[in-house]
Amino acid sequence: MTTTTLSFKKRFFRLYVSTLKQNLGLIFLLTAVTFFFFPIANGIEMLHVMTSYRDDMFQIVLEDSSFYHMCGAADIYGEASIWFFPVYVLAAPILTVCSLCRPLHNRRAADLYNSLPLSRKGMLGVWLAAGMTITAIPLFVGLVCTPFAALLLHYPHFHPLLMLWDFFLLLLALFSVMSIVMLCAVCTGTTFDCVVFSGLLFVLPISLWGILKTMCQGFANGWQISDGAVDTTLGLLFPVAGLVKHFKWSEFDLGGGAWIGVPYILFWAAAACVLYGVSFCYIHRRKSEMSGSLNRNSVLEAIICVVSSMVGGLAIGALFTTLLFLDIEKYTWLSTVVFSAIGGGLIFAIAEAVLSRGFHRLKKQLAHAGAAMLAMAAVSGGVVFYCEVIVEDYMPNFSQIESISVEDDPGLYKMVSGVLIATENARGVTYLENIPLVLHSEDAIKQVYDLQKHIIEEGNLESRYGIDWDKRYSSVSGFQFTYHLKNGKEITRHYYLSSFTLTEEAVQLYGHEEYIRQAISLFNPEYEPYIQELSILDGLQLREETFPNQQQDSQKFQRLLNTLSREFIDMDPNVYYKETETPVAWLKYNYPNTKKRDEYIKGEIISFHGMIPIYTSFTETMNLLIEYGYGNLLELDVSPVKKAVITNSNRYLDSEDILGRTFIAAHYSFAEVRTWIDTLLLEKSQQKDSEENNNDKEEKLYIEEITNQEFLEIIPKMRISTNNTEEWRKETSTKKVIICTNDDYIGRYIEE
Amino acid sequence: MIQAKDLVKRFGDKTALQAMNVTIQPGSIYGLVGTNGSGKSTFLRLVAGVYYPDGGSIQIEGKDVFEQESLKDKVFFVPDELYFLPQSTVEDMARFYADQYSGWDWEYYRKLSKIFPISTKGRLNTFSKGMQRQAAILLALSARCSYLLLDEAFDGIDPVIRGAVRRMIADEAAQRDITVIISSHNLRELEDLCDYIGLVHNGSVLFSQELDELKLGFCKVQAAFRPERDIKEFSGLSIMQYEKRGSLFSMVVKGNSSQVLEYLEQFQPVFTEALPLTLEEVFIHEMEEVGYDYNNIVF
Repeated sequence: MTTTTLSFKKRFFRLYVSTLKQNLGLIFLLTAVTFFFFPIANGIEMLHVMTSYRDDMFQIVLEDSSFYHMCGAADIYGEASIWFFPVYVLAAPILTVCSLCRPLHNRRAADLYNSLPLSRKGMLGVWLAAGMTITAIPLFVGLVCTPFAALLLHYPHFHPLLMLWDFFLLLLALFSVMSIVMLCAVCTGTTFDCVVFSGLLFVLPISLWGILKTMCQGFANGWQISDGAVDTTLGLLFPVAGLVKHFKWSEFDLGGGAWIGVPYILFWAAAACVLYGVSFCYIHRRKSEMSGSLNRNSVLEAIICVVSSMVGGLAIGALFTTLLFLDIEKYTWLSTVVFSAIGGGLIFAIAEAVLSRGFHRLKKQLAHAGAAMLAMAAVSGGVVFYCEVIVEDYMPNFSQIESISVEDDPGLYKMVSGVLIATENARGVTYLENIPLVLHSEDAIKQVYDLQKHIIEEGNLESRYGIDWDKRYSSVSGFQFTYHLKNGKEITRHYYLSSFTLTEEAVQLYGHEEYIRQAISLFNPEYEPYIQELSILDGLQLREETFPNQQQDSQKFQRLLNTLSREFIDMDPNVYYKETETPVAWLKYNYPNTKKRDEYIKGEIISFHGMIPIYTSFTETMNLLIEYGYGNLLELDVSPVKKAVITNSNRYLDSEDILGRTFIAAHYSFAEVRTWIDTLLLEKSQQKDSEENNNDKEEKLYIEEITNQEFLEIIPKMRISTNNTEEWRKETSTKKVIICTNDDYIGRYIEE
Repeated sequence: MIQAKDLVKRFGDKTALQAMNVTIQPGSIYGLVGTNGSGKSTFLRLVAGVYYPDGGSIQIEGKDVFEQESLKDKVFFVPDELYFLPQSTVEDMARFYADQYSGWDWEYYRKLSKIFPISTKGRLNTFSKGMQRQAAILLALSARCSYLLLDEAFDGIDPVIRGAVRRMIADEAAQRDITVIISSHNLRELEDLCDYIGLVHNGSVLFSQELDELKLGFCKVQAAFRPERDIKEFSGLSIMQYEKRGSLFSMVVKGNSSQVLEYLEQFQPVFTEALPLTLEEVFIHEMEEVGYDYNNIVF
């Protein structure tokens, strides 16, 4: 009989088809799960979106895509889908590869497959092709069904081409994840090892990075990784991070686009090609006797054991150090090193026991465990040394700094409700986003530079740990800035500034013109046309008059703002940061928020609300206000005050809402509050005797009604506390006054 | 021709094959015998290209087998522990092999299917051990390969089918001139089937000979002498084993029976007789020679 030898292509294709047939059950299972989380979940969400609007809104809904809240570049995925995709992309390849690569993990199957007239490389190629097909079919079914669901539900907005693009990205992600699982399958002898190694390879890099980051933040005071660097690191260390970013952050509201997360997906696809290369090279000479045995690639095993020990050791070190509440730096250091070493040895022993399915090899590996402990001591000690000695004190060369962006909370933001910028996304939709202040002038940069230098030199604990409860430091604010260097690098630092350690450098920074003009956008000339009106309030903020920005008053309006900004910039910043003076009046502005987001102009900077204090030193501003007919508001008038009480307690009053900077709490019922205060007064009188007998000063409630004369006397001491950091200052000794009018109430601190 | 030269295979610390040298002629049926763990299965896996040799070479038709698709297309390996695709039937497995082996013969498969008393549509995981073995042999023969490697070929098969399988293999070898290597502990089966026998022990081949030649090389002789003789007097014979009961000697001797009888004639025996030696006896005596002797163990 004459036979024609089958070609490699024919054998490859036939084995591929045969493999798919054998795995029809798996395809069906994955499709069923995907169908539930993809078209069905999306359909439910579409239905929800479509029924969320009233009938009269429906036309607007159809015309304005900003009403939709579906996710992804294609505008068609629900929340369930976008969380399902990464899970699927991680789990499906593990399941599929374990099913396909049975000959690598089963001795008998190895006999069958390795005796076939197809090379090992060819077989791996078949498994790769079959694996991709098996995992892609369910997604493809979902991709095809979703538009049908959209048509059925009359959901009008989705982008078929972007759906195809998303599908392609999903395939790339599957390809990447499968490369890791397949490498593990080739390098191990059992399915258990393959799953464990794959899982660890997914988790370990990101865990190690997370622990090192936490350690750096703990030991290097001020060290901060920027959000961009976090994104990049996650994207490069975790194969589905790019996918999560693509689907989650290309939500319509956040203005993403088709390219979000794509660089990471492409990076991983490229890395996958390398991993496949390694797998194909390795399988060519892979020993068949590995199948079904505990033999595995020694390099991969060593990497897994070492990294596991590092992650576990450092995590245990950090955990025990935290549990011990060690405040003294040298003990923290010692504790971290000792517990990391113990943890490293322990995790190494556990890893060894798991991989060898018992403790029989442990005795042989004791030397390795000891080496792991020593290595961990060296690694943790090295990390601590690097953080404390090198990173913590590092400052860039001043001449290399191009600009500094500052994210200061509260800083001058205390006066405004956030500075936002209108940004246009890839699809031409404008949205608002928080922006940091960017300082370019040399002297402003010098202020920040000197501030960091001061903090490094001081090395104060409250800056590092934020709060020293023994000293009752509860007023701490974060101060984060990023040096943008001329060579393109960025260095970010984050410090805590407490009210008692607010340095002269920090205060001077807050008084710098460049800082003020960005933080209070009212003082930015470009902003002026957008303001429709201002409000002028008296010092107690009981009376209020509006100052419209009308055509005929435009010059007056601009003059007032120019004068106020000049005087504000020229004043000593300590006046408002340390609240050494009570304002005589206030200027309030509200940006009209009737404007739809799409109507904002790209690059438009917005601060929606703000309160600017006017001090006695602002003579020109006050003269202008008198000239414009608002002079009455500069005079003290206590006639609206119906009742005033003084208290020292935060336990009975919600200081944040009543005594804080919220001066008009319109959402509270005045009658309710007044009754509440009366009740408190009554309780106070009833408890008087017992309170007096209580020696614990902090426990004593102090609340009493004051006369008009007493009220007038304390007015100069009253502070609105625009500064968050001062809000709770000297909590136990600061008195507060609550002022009740006929229809409102306000809270003020009294400076003692 | 299958040729192993200084073939070495190690599993960790253990050396399964150490410098094995053997040549198997084309068109022959080669019986591979040996003790447990001697390396028979390892050798077959090396021939099938399942294992990669750690030293030496294993060649078929002058080429290394490992990863040689064209060579492996001519080799079908039936391992000692069978594996079938999950939930598959004989038909499924036939399709699977037909996709991969160029020589697959559906007609022959149908013909053989009728001979073997197994259902080709039944799930293989429900079959008994012997039925699975029959299915494996059915598939192996249908692949129509030039080299058939059967590890523990008759394990679990009933005597009737064993006979049929023996005939099928013999027919295949005769008609298509295929080379068959069979490893088995059932030496009786091999004796009826094989042209050549190789004895493997501790990872190397003790001997590899034509079966007839092998059997001719040993003989069992019974002889009686009057007066009685001492065994030391027969120093000209290569006696492997002897037993003396009175004047009657029973000896297993290396060499041709006629030559042995002629040698004994000089001692004027009362009675001499040469008996043929079975393969099993040859095997046992050879193994005793290398110290694999459990006859003297007292339980």
